[in-house]
Amino acid sequence: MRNYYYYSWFYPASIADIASKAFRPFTDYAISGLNIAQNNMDAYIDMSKTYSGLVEDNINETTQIAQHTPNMFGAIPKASITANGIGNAVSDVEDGEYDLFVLKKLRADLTEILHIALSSA
Amino acid sequence: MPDDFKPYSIDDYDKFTMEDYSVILKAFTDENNKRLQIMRYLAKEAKDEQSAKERVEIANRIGVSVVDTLEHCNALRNIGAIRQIRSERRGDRGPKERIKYYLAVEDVIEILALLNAAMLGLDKNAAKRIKQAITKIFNRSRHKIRYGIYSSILRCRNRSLTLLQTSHTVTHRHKKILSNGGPR
Repeated sequence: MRNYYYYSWFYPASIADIASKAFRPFTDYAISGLNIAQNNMDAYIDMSKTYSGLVEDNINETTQIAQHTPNMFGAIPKASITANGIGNAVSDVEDGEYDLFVLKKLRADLTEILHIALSSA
Repeated sequence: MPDDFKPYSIDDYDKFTMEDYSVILKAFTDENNKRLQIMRYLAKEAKDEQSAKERVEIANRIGVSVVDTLEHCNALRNIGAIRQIRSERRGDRGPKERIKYYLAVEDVIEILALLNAAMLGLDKNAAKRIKQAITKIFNRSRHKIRYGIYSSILRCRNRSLTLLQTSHTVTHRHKKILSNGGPR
């Protein structure tokens, strides 16, 4: 039996819904809303990380308990792959050169550039 | 003649690897943030073919050599953040054609959506929805700049409150899970 995600609202499809819902309220008024939506997304990333950590701990614990009965559990995937997104993965690829802060800063810079483009229209 | 080179499209989102995101990050990153300065300059003064700027103009404005400007512009063009056009010379002197650059606003929106979706590990459809939402934000903002932003600020406040309420509900559910001994 494999339960990759324990709560339906943290299944990727639900995260996708949350993400789109977080952006949607800001779509019909002001430019600063984008920053608010993105900051809200950052909060979701942090929450996801916390949740992933809990799941990972739980999986590790379960794996330890079940180490004598591997056939029952098989290979249990890490839920954090989806929840962590590219932040950690990019750090891994670049050996620590990039982290989530760099991604967030780039995103903020691009938002500012788009803001300039519109305000000078 | 416009250059529609667009290497990072949401249509190919599923094919992107971590290295692709690394390439995007590197393209925007240089020692003195000159590339972002170039983008800010083009955002202000060159958002379409008609207002595209020549390399010399960009170099003078940013305060780097023309050779360095070429390197920066090529890096930005390779990820689709700016576009290059060629126009015929004016007068009899100088090269036969001039290369100009302008900001590819739609493609920057696409890159922004890609980063947002990838940071959350979302799927292609979510990436598309985020792009649509961001595009709508900017289109509406353009409208609001024309007609005033005061009513928008009021609506922003109301919607922020709704969002905070939603966040509070999620936090409450987290607390409940933790108090029940974590995920099972």
